[in-house]
Amino acid sequence: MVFSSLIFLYIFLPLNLALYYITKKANFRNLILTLFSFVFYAWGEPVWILLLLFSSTVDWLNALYVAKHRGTKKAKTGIVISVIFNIGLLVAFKYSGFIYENINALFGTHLEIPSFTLPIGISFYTFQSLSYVIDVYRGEVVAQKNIMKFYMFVSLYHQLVAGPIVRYQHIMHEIDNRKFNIKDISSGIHRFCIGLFKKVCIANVAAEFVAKYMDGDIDALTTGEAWFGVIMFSTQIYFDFSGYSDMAIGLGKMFGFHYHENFNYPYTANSATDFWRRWHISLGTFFRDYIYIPLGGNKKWQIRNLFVVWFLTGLWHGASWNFIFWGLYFGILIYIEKIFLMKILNKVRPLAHLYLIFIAIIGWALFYFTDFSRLQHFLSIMFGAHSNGFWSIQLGLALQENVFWLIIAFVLCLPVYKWANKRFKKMLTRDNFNWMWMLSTVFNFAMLLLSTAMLAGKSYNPFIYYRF
Amino acid sequence: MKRTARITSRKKLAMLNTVIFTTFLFFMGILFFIYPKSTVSDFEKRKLCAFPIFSMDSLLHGQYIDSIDLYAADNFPFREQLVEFSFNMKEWRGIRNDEIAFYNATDIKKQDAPPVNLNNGDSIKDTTATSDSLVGPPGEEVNNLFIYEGRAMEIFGGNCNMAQSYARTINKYQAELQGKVQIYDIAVPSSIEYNAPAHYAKQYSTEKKNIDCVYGALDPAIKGVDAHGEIGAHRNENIYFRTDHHWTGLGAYYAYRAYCKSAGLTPLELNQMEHKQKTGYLGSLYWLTRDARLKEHPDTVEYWKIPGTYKTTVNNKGIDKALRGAIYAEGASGANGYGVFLGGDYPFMKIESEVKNGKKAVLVKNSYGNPFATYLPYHYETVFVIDYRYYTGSLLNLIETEKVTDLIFLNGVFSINTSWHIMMIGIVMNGVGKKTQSSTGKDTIKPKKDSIIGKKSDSIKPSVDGIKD
Repeated sequence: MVFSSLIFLYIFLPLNLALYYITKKANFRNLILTLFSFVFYAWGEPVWILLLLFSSTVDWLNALYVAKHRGTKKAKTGIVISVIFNIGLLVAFKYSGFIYENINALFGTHLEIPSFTLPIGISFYTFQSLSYVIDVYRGEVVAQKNIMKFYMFVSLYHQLVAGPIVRYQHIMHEIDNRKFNIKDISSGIHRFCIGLFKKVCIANVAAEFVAKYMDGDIDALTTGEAWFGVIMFSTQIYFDFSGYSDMAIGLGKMFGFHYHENFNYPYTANSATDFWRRWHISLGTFFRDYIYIPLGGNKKWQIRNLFVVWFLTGLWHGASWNFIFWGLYFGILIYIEKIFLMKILNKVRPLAHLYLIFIAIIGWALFYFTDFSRLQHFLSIMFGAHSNGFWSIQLGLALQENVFWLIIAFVLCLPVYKWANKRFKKMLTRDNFNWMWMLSTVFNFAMLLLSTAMLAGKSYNPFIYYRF
Repeated sequence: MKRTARITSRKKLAMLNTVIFTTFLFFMGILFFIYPKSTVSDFEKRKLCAFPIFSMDSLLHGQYIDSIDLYAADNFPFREQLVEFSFNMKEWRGIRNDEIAFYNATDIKKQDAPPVNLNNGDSIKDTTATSDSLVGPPGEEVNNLFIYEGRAMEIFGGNCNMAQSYARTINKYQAELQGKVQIYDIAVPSSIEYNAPAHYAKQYSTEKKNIDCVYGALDPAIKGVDAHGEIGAHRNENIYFRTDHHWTGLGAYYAYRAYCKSAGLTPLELNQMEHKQKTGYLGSLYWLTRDARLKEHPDTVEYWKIPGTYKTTVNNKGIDKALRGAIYAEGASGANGYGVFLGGDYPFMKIESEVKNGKKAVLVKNSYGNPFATYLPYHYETVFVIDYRYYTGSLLNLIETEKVTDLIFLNGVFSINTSWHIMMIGIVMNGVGKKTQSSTGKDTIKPKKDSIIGKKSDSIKPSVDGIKD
């Protein structure tokens, strides 16, 4: 299931809220959340729920074993098993096709490429349980004795499918001690509506342009259209992903969980280094804490460490070479920034910002095309190596007919919300207090309604005996 | 003291926000279950998804749940209003250009749900033109669209090779029927050929050149009818709909005049016929785009009734019995306005006149041919109107048993340049089934085309598009 669907919004969520708040018993609430999470997960691919249960059971047992033998060699063995197990699952279910393809290409073999669908969220939940076992090993968290509670941690539907990668230590306290706080619920609703709006009204609209200018036949694209296409993809991926994180954080709050932020206005960054501190923060910190620093960080073998981390960051995003190159592309840029570029960038802030936007956009082109010949072709169009011209009437019309939407989308990449929130709080007086807050309720409601209409509009499927 | 008051108030407001939000979700959720469901959408001319039938297999493979998602999306309370609202929202995204707009085929082409064709004339009560409800109209293909001054046009992109391949298919008929019948081919240009302004000429390729490719490759014994020239001479009249992809009754009339010229007939003048019209017609291109610029200029469906009395029978798909039909389905209204011509698309239609001149014609057509067909019966003892997309009998048999004198192929340039249409015109020569086709067009054998056009794309699956996990 996805958050941006009518079934989720109007059936699943209200039912979940009702059954959850019907009782005050913590255990019952945990059980409800776990069951709803299972249904949420099983909604698309019922079979993979078994894999999720299997993987979390193994990690749960492993953590208990590690905790029992902490300080001994056995604990280390437990950790090794856990790493092998989780990475093994990822390799088997996410990368086996990719590995077979490459072996076939390299050695001219004809191994049959496995053709099962990717279990949803596997990259997220394997990382979550792996980090949990490592944290138990490091003594940072106490192993969870109750398997149901551990299932809840892994399967919490708020973040199961698309992150953020929630670490056990961030919510361990809240697994047992969640408090009913109406202000939290209310602000969770607000946050959820913002996320929904970002996903449905910005990302989905941007996706239409991406389909138009980056899918299908790119031969006839003009330079302007190619740039517009990839800028729209940059918009889509940011609003899609950050909108999803907003919804996850909002849902968490509705049920008493406080997840960490996953985005911090990444397009306002001034360097690749800065960008990655703001983009998918839970992934960046995961790699920092569990790979980069254990490998030696800045102190030992820095170049190797950087290479490993960025190779893996790329690979994590998908089983294809372009993702690896995309990861390494950022790795190289960050390294260059470390040696000398950062000093220059710090001196010319506006230019530094342009630099970041430029490299981010090129990065997204790299990310988008899994087919290298198409990527090459697309880049050559972006940089004018073709005879299609720079502009087209259609592009001018697209800009004109979407000018307000474009302005909203670009402005929302800036921290306007932060600013508006501050202003809002400053403007509050005793006289306007009530209606100012009600205004925010109206605002939530408007976002919900707009998104609902857009979701209904998506199912518009005309059939007008079209071709004769 | 005041501070405490404010905190209480803040809590109350949070409660209010929460209550409004959750109540609304609940309310809509409950409404979803109790709201009366309809089975078809008037807007979209299709059947709405029904609740899926459970099977363990479909559950495990995800289809069952996908179907529930489709069902929920199709049966959401106030869906039609919400869809309309979302179309209006599109207008708020920017500044509308009143002169011109483009629609990309990928934007409007959606075939996610099993479609049904409702668009046939409503004058014939006990049958529909589309009994195989899960099969969409064959060869359906959405082209890029262009709206200029309130008129929608499909952007033509055919090529000479395809046009020649079409011509070769017609030539096969000539080879088979040499000396038995006179074959005519009428290639009909589309709206953009006459209505697009010259300064946007770069956006499309000319249809004249393509039609010349067809006629240049035809067997010299086949007469290519110059519909292009005759229609072009009246380009300022109402010859194409603004909101539909078809030509009008008047456009077809000029093609009919061109045909008469080739066939040595004296055409009826417009004033010899009874002129009728239906206003407020919004056609296919409007429903596909829901573009306000089109809605502001609805079309008028005009038709001219030929003098004389005619006996018309039709055979529907999969139905053995010949039913009473009509040249003009005058009850056709609303989005079905074009259905006034012949009452829609029937695989087989037979129109008998009182003229006893021994001349019999077969018109091989798709829906573009419907208005054209209405003029022909005046000149013939019998006219057979065959929709090559649905007819499963053999044209050669029909021509032989009925002693047909004239065989007319009429196609729009878009069909001429679509391999599926070319293939179907080829197939109908000998028919689909092994069974010999009687002249009533009976058939019991399922047309092969179902397997070609029954393909459905995957169901709608909203996803976290950007995240490739």
